[in-house]
Amino acid sequence: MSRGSLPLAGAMILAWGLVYLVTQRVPDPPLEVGVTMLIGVALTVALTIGYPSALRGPRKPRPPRQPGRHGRTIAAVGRSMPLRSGLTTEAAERAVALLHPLLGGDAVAITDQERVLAFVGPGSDHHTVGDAPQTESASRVLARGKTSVVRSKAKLGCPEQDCPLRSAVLAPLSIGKRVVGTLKVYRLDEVPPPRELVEGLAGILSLHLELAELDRERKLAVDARLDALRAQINPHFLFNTLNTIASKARTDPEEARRLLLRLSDFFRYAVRQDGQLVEFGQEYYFVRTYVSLEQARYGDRLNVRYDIDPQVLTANVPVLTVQPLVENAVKHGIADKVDGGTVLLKARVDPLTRTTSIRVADDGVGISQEVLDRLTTRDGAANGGVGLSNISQRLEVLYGERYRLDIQSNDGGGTVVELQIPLR
Amino acid sequence: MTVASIIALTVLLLAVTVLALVLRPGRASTLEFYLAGRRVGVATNACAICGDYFSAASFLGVAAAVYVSGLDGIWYATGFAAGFVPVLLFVAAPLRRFGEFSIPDFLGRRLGSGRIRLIAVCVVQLIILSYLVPQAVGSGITWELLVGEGVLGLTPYATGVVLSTVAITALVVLGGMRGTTWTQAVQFLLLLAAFIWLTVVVLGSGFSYPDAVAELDSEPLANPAFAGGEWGLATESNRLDTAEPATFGEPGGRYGPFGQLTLMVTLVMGTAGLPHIMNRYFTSPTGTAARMTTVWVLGFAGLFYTLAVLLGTASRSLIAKSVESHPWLAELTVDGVLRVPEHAPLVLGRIFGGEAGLGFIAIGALIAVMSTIAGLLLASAASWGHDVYERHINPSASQRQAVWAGRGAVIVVAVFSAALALGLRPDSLTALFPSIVATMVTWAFALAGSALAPVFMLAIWWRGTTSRGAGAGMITGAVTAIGMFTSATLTGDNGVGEVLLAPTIVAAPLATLVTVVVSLCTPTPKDVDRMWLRLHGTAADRRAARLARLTIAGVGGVKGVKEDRSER
Amino acid sequence: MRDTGAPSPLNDDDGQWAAVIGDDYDMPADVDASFRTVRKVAVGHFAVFLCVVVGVPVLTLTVDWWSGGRLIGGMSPSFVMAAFGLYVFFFALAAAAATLSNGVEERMLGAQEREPVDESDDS
Repeated sequence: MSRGSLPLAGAMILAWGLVYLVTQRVPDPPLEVGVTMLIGVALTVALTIGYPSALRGPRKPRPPRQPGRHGRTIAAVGRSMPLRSGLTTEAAERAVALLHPLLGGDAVAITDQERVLAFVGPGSDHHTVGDAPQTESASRVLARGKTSVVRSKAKLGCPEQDCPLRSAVLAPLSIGKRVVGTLKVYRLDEVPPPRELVEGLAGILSLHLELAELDRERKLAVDARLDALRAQINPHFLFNTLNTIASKARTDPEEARRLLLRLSDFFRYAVRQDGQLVEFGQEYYFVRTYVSLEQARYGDRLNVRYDIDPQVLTANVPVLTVQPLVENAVKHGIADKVDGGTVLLKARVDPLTRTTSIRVADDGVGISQEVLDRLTTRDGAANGGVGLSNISQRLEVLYGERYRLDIQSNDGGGTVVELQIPLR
Repeated sequence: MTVASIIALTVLLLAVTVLALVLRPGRASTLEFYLAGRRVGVATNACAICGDYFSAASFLGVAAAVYVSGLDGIWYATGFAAGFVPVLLFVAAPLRRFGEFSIPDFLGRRLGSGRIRLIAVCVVQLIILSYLVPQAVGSGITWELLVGEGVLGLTPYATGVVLSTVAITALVVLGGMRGTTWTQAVQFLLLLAAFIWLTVVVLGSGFSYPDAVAELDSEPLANPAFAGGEWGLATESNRLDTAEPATFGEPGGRYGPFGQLTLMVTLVMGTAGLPHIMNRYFTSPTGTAARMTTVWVLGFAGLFYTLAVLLGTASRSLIAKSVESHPWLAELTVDGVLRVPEHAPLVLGRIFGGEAGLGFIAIGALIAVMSTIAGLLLASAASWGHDVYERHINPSASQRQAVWAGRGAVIVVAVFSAALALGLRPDSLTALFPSIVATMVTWAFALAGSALAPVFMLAIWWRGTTSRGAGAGMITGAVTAIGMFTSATLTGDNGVGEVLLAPTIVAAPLATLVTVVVSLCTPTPKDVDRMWLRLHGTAADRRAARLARLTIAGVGGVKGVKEDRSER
Repeated sequence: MRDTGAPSPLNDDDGQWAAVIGDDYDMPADVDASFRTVRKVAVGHFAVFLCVVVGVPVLTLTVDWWSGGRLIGGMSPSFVMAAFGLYVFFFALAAAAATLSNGVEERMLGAQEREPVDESDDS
């Protein structure tokens, strides 16, 4: 709240003062109350809605749109990026529909390595979608990755005798050096379509495919990191907890049973989450489960204090981010401190700046620079701990530049980790 | 009585009968004598709370206050309704979760002290008495006005007091909380039906609410006064602006600059300390349900008071116009204005429904009185039987003995309040009727809000509260409230008297301060964390909810639970 | 004593029954957290309540239009507020506060609604 609400309150007071002056003091007779209220309320609403964007700073101007017939120019193909989501039948159909009018050919087709994904124009009766590419030239292009120009029906090699297609340009679609499909442009006469144009467009489409592939890889990488995080639920923690439970099984079987239930809850949550975002309430439950297990082990040495805004409970946060922060605080802060300490988890939502902020602080021994470096740089486990780098990498994929993850630690004085993410 | 109003009345009564059958309870046992076995549904409990809460002061008093003072009279209703907001926010759920029998028991357990329980019992009994006596007085006066005859050689007034007390006492002694939960709920539905019927026929006759206010506003507010040996209309003085006369639709008819505020504070704080209302919360199945119950109560109260205000306005406007066509009004009115404002809803009922209409509304008034008395007696019984007898006099008492102790206490308290009511019989009945009922009810609110509510809320929300602190706070609050009230009767109700009459605004902060200071000086009890688990944890709630789900899941489960219970 | 009754779900799987009961336990730190969050809700709503309840008399004393103006027929804003507005406001405030507090407690205490246990056994 500190960043946002006060200036807004000031602005509102100023606005109402202004409204009062303009409507009640300046004109004679003063405006009616109803009208004044209307103006004031309208101003207030405008301020409240406009405020968050004002905080974010002015928007970058959009690139000016090119005048002219959209969807008819090559630039339009570049912008609409039909294959941006990958080489699928649906995307190919859109691409073909877009390309058909401007390629100067009579028929256009896109294939992947095994089958025709889309075909528009004469000959579509036997060049049906879903079949394997029938022409020899197609397999040649797929094999060599080079554009081929076919100038006669014979060389086209269509098995169908009445095929009206006479000439064609076949260009490969590739991701990097791997050929994944072809773009084919046919004509009904012996003059093939302009080779450069087809090649150029195939190049653009290839670029789109490459981008799609990158996207997919990036997402895979995030999933992989999440999987890594799940998999590395630290064995020490498991063994310690099981030991605790085993020792309680004699002295306090009720407590032992309770802990066992909590442990199963803990693993169920860690393993069963799919998707990147969860409600904070869920993540908080995970933290509580974890803390109660650790408290069974550390006893009075580990105190926890939660300070949570009601609104934050329904805000979405990236899955498995809060508990690792708490785990780090316990492991690197409290565990090594002889007389124990307190971990403070504070969660807030600022509705005006639309941010969720989560702060995990402990009054433990503090993390030395060396360990801190290890935590923030090496991916995955550092001495069984959860890498902060894992979290920050995932945050970066999810939010780009719009998040903050700060760590402050001084030897002997505890650690504060502060995380700010956009509310959504 | 027109056909339309007969139909409206019949439909309403049928609806109430059906609802009553739907809400009908099963058999009851020991825990259920006081607390209805803690299985009372949200809506039923909300209705029962309304039945407890809406006394004669709400049923006749609010309409009468609007009738007399216009806009300023509405604040009574607003305060009564507003009182449930702090109850919802601060009291309902934790109180139910802690789950004792009564307010003194709650304080005694929470603060771990028997002495605090006894102090609380004293305060609670004072509140109950100051609420009970005006109800008995009210029923005596209603009997006197409606029937006008005594039985067994008693005066009409005494007959009313004795009859109502005996009837209610019998009901409470035989029925217990479960019985009364149901009757309270049905009684509230009847009250609401009475108001709805009256509103429907009034609006059906072409009455326009906004126009009536405009019309009434056009001339100064004047009320009958007995001066110089005869009745005449006297213009009300405007307490906000002495240069102008008071009018119906504008403030100033009743309160000076601070009167309205002090009254609001008194009523708002008071509700959270009323024992018969708070005891109802213990009957909710869970803390969550207790919260939702309060939301329902606020809905019902809002509807009820909106209608009451409308009826007050309607009677001001319509009675004056009906004097010519209804000759029987002549002896009740002075120049078209009622001498006793409490008659307003009754007269309205007679104008639109004939004798049957009058009877219906009068029954409503008596029900309002009786249901409140029942709730109060039960709270008193719980307090004596449980908090004093079971906890202090005979800790090893069987549940049977405790229930009988409670029943005995009910009879004693009822006799005591009836005796007080007989002794307090106002000499000049008409002049004192409105003031004595309303004033004494306000006094109960003031006492509850000054002595109980602050300590109560601190005990729930502040870990540092100690038994010594709470005891000091309660005594301070009670003494301040009583002291200010006594001095108010000497100074009159202008200026300073306005504040003295509604002492909560001074006494409650004082009680809070004393509690906090004394608590800080005494050591905090060690097991506060355990208390907190009970007060603010939902474990028991979740268990109850799961049990309920299991019970619903299979008929076999229901059977098992019932058999289990009957064997105990 | 229970065995005298017909076999019921309560008796059938006593083991699981006990396990379910045992799980209804709150940690003090959790209760403290939800207590403070609910207190925030209560105090916040109470502040709004207080502002409105105190605001009405204050407006009466300070703004002429509040009791002199006419909204519907002869009703001044003050009259409309006292006769209807405040009750609607109380109800809305109460409903909002109750829903929010119940939601907070549901999310901050006890387990999140758990899938049936046997699902994991099958797989």
